[in-house]
This record gives sequence, C-alpha cells and structure tokens, in this order.
Amino acid sequence: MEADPAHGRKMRLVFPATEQDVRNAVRRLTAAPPLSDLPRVDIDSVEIVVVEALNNIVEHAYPDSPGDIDLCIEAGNDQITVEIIDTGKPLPDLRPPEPRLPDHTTLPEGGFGWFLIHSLTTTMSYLRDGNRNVLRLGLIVSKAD
Amino acid sequence: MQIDRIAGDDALIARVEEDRIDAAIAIRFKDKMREIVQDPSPRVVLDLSRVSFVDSSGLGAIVAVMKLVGPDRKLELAGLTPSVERVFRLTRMDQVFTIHPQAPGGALHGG
Repeated sequence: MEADPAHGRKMRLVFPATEQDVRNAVRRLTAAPPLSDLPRVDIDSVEIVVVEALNNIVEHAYPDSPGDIDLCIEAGNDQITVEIIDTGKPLPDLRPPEPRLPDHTTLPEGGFGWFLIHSLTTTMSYLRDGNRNVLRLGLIVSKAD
Repeated sequence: MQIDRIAGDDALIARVEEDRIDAAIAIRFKDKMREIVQDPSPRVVLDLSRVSFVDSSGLGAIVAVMKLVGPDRKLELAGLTPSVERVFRLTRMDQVFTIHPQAPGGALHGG
C-alpha cells in the first residue's frame, strides 16, 4: 500500500465565512493531525492566529452574504504553515494593517487581532490573486512528539 | 450563553460555563454580564476557569464588561487558562484587571 507522504502533515478545510462555521472548523483543525501532534502551547498559538485571521474575513471580506474560506495548514520541520484563501473584498491598500497594539490604559475594546497574528507568527504574506485573497502565515513550533 | 452566579462574602462571582468566549458568542456574553453586574456587590469576579479560549472579540467584550461594573468597582478575573492568559499578556490587557489564580472561595464552589 502506497503511503501518502502528506498524511498527518496537512489538513485542508473549506467552509462558509460565518462565526459558527469558523468555530467548527477550528475545533476540527486542532483535534486532528498535524496540529494535534504538537505540544499544547503550539496548538494554542496556531489556534489564536487562525481564529483572528478567520474572524477578519467573516467581519470584513463578505459584506453581503458569506462566501467560502479555504484553509490549509501544513507541518514542516519546525514550523506550521497556514494558507487562508477567500474570494471576498481585498484588504485595504492590499496589505495587512500595521500591527499597532492599542494602548491598554485607554481600555480598548478592539484592534488586537492583527497584533496577535503578528506576535505569534514568524512570517506573514498577503497577496491579491485575481479575485482571491491569499494570506500565508508561518509559525515556528516544537517538533511533534 | 451560560454564566453561573455565585455569591461570595463581599464578591459576586460570575462563572462562565462556556469553553470559548469568541466572535460567535461575545455579544451574548456582554448582554448576559450587563444583567449580572447590576448586582450591588462591592466586588465582581469573572471566573474564567472553564474557558479554554478567548479571542480578540472575547477580550474586547471582557473590557466592555469592565466598563459596565461602574466607576467604583474594578472587574476582577480568576482562573485564566494558559491560552487565555497568553492573549491577555501579549496585548498587555493583563495590566488592566486584577487577576486571581482562582476565584475566591473557589474550592467551595467546585463541581
């Protein structure tokens, strides 16, 4: 029997851009390989980053009715790569906003999302490809046990 | 959105019985807490020991609740689990709240 070289190292999910679908997708993502093989702290890091990126799409990309989100995560040697594709509105100025941390002394209720993504990733790229937004994120993680 | 109210000596403890405070639930959480914090207790403690995940929406909602407890009280947090503690620490919002390892009288109210 031929082994699938990507088995356990890659996971792809396609789902509508709604809050509940994001919840369900993230639960599935963290419960299965490759994420489930990682130390808890790394699963948590990926979860935070993915949720924030997906929330942005739900909130901003599809103002009329939810389109799809195509999410793929892949485990490399010491890193997890996340690729998120949607066909909604492009990011303003075609790039992620500056990850400025809101001043905590002003009791901010928002503006944390991109900062969290930036804090927990080592690489981030965004490109607009035809009608698609492609966001790629890389996180350094410990080797799976 | 289930939040249990537990009366402590001088504190009202609001224990969140959901495992996530995220975009899908943040508004309901705020609405429920708006009712709960009308309790005149001098202290309000939000017990998050059952919550394994808070995203930026959830964080924002918790800050909003802080503003709802009124000028004379400060919202206290208890039982932050690792991922939740990390989000508070990374955003420096851990400096805005009094944070306890567990809710006051926690052992008595377990289960």
